[in-house]
Amino acid sequence: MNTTKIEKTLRLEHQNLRGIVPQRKTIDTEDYKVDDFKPSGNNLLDEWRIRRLSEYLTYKFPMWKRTGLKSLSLPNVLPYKGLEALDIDGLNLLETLDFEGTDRKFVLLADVFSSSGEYIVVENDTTIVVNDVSQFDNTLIDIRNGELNFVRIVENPFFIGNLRIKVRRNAKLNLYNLYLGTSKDDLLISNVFIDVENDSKTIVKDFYFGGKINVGYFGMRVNAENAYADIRPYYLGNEKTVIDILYLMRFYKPNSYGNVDAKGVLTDEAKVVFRGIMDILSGAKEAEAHQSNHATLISLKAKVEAIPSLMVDENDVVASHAASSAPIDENMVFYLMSRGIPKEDAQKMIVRGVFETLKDELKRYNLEGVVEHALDSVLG
Amino acid sequence: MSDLHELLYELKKREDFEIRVNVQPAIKLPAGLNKKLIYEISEAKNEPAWMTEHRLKSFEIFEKWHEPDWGVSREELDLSKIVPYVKPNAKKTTTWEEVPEEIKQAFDKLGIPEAERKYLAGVGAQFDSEMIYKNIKEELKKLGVIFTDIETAVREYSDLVKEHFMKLVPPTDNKYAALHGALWSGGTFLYVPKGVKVPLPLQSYFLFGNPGGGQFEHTVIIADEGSEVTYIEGCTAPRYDVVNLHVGTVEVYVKKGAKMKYLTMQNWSKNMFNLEIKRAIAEDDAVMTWVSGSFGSYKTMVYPATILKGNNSVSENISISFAGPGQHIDTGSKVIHIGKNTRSTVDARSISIGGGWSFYRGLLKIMESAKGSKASVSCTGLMIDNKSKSDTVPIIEVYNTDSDVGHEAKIGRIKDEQIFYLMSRGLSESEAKGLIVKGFIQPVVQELPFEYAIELNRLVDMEIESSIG
Amino acid sequence: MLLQVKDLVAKLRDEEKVILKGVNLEIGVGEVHAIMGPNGSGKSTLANVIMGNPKYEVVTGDILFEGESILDLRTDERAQKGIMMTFQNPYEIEGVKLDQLLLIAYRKLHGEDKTFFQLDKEMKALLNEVGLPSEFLERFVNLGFSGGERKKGEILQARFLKPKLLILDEIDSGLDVDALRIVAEQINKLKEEGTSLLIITHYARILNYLDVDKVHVYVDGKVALTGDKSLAYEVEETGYAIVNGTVDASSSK
Repeated sequence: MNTTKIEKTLRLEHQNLRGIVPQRKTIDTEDYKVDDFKPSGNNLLDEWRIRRLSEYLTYKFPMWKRTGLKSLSLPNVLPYKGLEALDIDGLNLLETLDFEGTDRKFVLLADVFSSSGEYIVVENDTTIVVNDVSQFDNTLIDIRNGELNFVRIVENPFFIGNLRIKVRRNAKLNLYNLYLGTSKDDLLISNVFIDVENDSKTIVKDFYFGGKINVGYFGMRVNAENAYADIRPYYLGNEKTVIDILYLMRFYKPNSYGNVDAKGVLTDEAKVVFRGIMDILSGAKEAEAHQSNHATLISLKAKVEAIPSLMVDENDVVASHAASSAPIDENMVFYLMSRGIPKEDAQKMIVRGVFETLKDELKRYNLEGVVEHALDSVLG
Repeated sequence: MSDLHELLYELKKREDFEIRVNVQPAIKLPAGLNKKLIYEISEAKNEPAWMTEHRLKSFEIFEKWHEPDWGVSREELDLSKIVPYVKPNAKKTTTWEEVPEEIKQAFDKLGIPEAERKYLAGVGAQFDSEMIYKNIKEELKKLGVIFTDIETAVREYSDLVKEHFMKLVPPTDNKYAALHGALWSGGTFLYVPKGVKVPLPLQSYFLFGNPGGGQFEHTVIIADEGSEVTYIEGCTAPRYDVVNLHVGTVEVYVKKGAKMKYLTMQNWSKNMFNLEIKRAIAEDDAVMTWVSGSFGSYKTMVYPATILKGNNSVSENISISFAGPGQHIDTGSKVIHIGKNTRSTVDARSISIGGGWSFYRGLLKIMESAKGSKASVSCTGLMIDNKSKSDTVPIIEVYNTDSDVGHEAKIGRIKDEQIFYLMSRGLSESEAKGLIVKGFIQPVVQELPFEYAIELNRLVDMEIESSIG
Repeated sequence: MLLQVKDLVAKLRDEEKVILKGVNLEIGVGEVHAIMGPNGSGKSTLANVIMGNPKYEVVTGDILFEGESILDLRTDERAQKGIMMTFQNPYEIEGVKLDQLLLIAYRKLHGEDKTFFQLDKEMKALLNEVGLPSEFLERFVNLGFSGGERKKGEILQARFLKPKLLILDEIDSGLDVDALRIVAEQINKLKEEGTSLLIITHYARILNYLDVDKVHVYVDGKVALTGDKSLAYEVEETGYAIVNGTVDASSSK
C-alpha cells in the first residue's frame, strides 16, 4: 500500500483553479529490463526496489530541449550497492522522501540500479567525505542529532544519483556537492532532496564544472517552523558544457527562512539554465524566501537562461527574486587597474573572486584545490 | 526469497505487454464547427477569395493542432456553445432582464451613461457614438489616416490588409490562433501614413457596433515610417457577452522611426475565457509601448509581445492585472531582442484579492545578434488579503554577452500598520486599501487619458469594496 | 613639474556634451593642491580622465606626467607610473580580499623590494593607524563597508602603495569629524613621505587640517581662479559666484 506523498516540482493550483503542467516529451532508447535487477540480500529493501522498478518500467526517458538531451546510452548494470543497511526505520523514512527530481525516471533508476551509496544515521557531530561514487548512487541520510558535514565529490564520466537527507529538529547540515567533469562527454544527473524539521539549519554549496551535460535537481521541503536554509549553487562553464539546474524550496509552515543564491562564470560556448522555484503555501506566515542568479559571461557565445519563479499563496511573507547576467563589471575592472593591475589580470581576479567564499570553506577539508584546479583549467 | 522471485516474475510478464506511451485522443470537433460554416461566414461578409482561403486553411490547422500544454485550465470551455453565434446574422443580443445584476450594479457605480449601458451589456446593436466620431473622421481623412472596421478594410484596402493580416500571428502559432483565423469577425484596421502624427488617441469605442463583433476581433495597426499614434482598445466598464470565449488578436507593425502606443483596458464579465494574442514588430528606431489593464473575465491568458527587429528599437510594457474572487489571470509579456542597441523595459504589477490567482509569465530573449542591448524587467505582486495567490515565472534567455539584462520581482502585501495609520486619519478599511492600491498602479494610470484614469480609480474602489464585503 | 594638464577638453564617450572645457593645471613635485567647485561641475571627471577611465574621451588637450604625455597609456600603465586616485564611491569587489589586492598591486607598482612578511606587517600597522579592525584585511574589498570605512580603506591603500601623485576625489564627503581628522592626518603623512597631492573637494573643511600650496576654483569646466588657502574660505563664505568677480577676491600670491 503505497501512500507516499511525492513532492511535486510544480504546484499549479489554487482553491478550485488549476494551471496546466507542461507534458513531458520522451525519447526512444534501449532501456534496462527486469532481468537487470540485482538483489541486495535485504528483503525489506528489495521489496521496495521492485515496486520502484515496476513504476520505472512505465516511463520512457525524457527528452530535454534546453539541455540538449536527445539520446542516452546506458552502461551495463553493476552489482547492487546502496541502501543495504536499510532497516524498518530507514524504510519508513524513505517512503516520506519521495520526489520528482530531474525526472521521475532518473530518480527511480538510481533507486533500483545503484552500485554505490549508503544509509547513514547521524547521532552526533560527524564529518564524512565521499569521493568514490559509482555510476549510479543512492544515499539516504538521517540526521537525528548534532551537525553533519557531508562532502561529496563526483568525478565520473557517467553519473545518476539520488541523495536524500532528513534534517531533524535542531540538527544541522553542511552539504558540499562538488560535481567535476572529467572530459567533454560526461553526463551528470543529480537528484537531491532534503526534508527539514523545526529549528534546523541547512547550508548547501554545490559546484558544477566541466563535462558535457550537468543536470542538477535540488528540492527542499520546509515543512517546519524556524528552519534556516542557505543554498548556494556555483557554476563554472566552459567549452560546450551545459549546466541545467533546478532549485526548489517549498514552505509549508510559518517563520522559516530560505535563500537560494546562484552565481557563476561562463565562457566559450557554455550554457547555464537556472530554474528557481520558491513556493510559499497558505499558512506559512512570515516566511522569508529569496532567490537570485548572477551570471558573469566572459565570452561572446556564452548563454544564460534563467527562470526564477516565485509562487506565493500567503500574503504575510517576504519574497523576492532577482536575476542578472552581464559581462565583468567595467567599474570593478577600472578600480583594480587604478591600483596598477593590468586589465586581463584584473578580469581574472574578479572571475576567481566569484568562487572565493566557496574555496575558503573547502579549506577545512583540504579541497580548495578542486576549485583552484577548475579555475586554472578555464582561465589559464 | 521466493516472494521476490514471484514479484519479479509478474513484472516480467507485464513488461512484454505494457504500453509505455500515452496515446493522444483524437480531437473531436464540436457540432456545427465545420467547413460549411466557414464558407457561410466568408460569403456573408463578401470577402475576397484570398480571405476565404485563409479561413479554410486556418480551420485545417485548427483540426490538426494540439491543445497548448500550459496556462489556465480550459476544461470548462465548451466550443460547441459558441457555434450558433458565429453564424452570419446570428442574433447575438440578450434582453436587459437577462443581464447579470452585478454588471448592472457596476454600471451604476462607474457612472456609465444610459446609452452605453445597453451596448456594453450586449443588449443594443450599436450605441450612438456617431456624433463623436463624425468630427474625428474629418480630421483623420485630411491626414490620410485609414481608420475603419476591418471587414471594410478587407474589401476596400485588400492588398494592404493582405500584406499584413495574420503575418505576425500566423494560424500556426497555436490552436487558438488557428480557430481565430477561421472564425474571426470584427476588429479595427488602422493605417497611419509616413510622418503623420495623430494628435489624439484613437479609440475602438468609435467603431463599436460592428456586426458579430466581440469574440474573435482582429485588429491590424500599421504605423508607417516616422508616424506617431496611440490606440485604445476596450474600456474599464465591464462588458457582458452571451458567448463566453474571447480570442482577440492584435498585430502591430511599427515601421522605421515610428512610435505606437497600444492601450487596453479589459473588463469582460466574470464568466469569460479571455485568450488574446497581441504582437508587435518594431523596425529601426521604432518605439512600441503596450499599456494593459486586466480586470475582468474568469480566466485570462494574454502576453503582449514585441519583436525588436530593427536596430535601436525600443519596447515598453506596462501592465496591471487584478485578480479578484474566482479569477485566474495568467498574463505577462514577451520581448525578443534581435536588432543591435535595442532597449526594453517591463513593469508588471499584479493585485490579487478575495481568492484570486494572479500569474505572471514573461519571456525575455536576447538573441546573438542583439549586441549592445539593454533589458530590464520588474514584476511586483500585491496580495491584499490572505486568500489569494500571486506567482511570477519569468524566463530570461541571454544569448550574447554584450548586453545588460536585469530582472527583479517582489511579492508582498499591504502592511497592517499602513492601514491602521490611514484609518486613524478617518478612512475606512476599504478606502485605505483602495488608496494604497491606487498608489501601486500609478505608473499605468498616468499613461491613460483623463476619463479612463477616473474610471479606473472608480473601478478599483468598486472591486476592493466588493471583495472585502 | 610632476603633472601638467594643458587645455584639456573631455566628454563622456557615449554622449555629445563636453564636460571638461579647457582645464589648465600644474602641480610640482611635493606640492599639495586643492580643487573646489560646485556639485555637478565635473570635478570627478577631471580625476577620472587623469586616471584614464575608459568611460571618458579626451577631445583635445594633453596631460603630461613627469614631462611625458600619458594620453596613450591605459589606466594600469598610468598607475604603474605612479598616479593613483581615491574613489568618491569606491566599488565593491566581491571575492577579492583587501590584503590580496594590496599585495598584488604593491608588487605591480614596486616589484620585489620587500618581503611578504614586511608588507604584511606594514598592512597591519596601517590598519591600526586609520582605526580599522585587523579583520578588515580578510574582508572583500569594500563589500559591506560603511561610507567612513570605505574612505579609510582608500587612504590606507594610498599609504601602502605610495604613489607619486595622489588624486583624492572628495575623500571628505560623508565623513564625521573624527574620521575626517584621521583621514587628514593620513594625508599629511603621505605628504611627508613624498606624495604630491591633488585634493578635490566641495567644502573647505578639510583644509583646516592641511597646508596647501594652491587652491583652484573650478567652475563650468575650467579652472577659473587660483589662489592660496584664503581663497578657499572666501569661496565658502560667498559662493562660487566669486568667479564672476562679483566679490572682490585677491588672487595669486
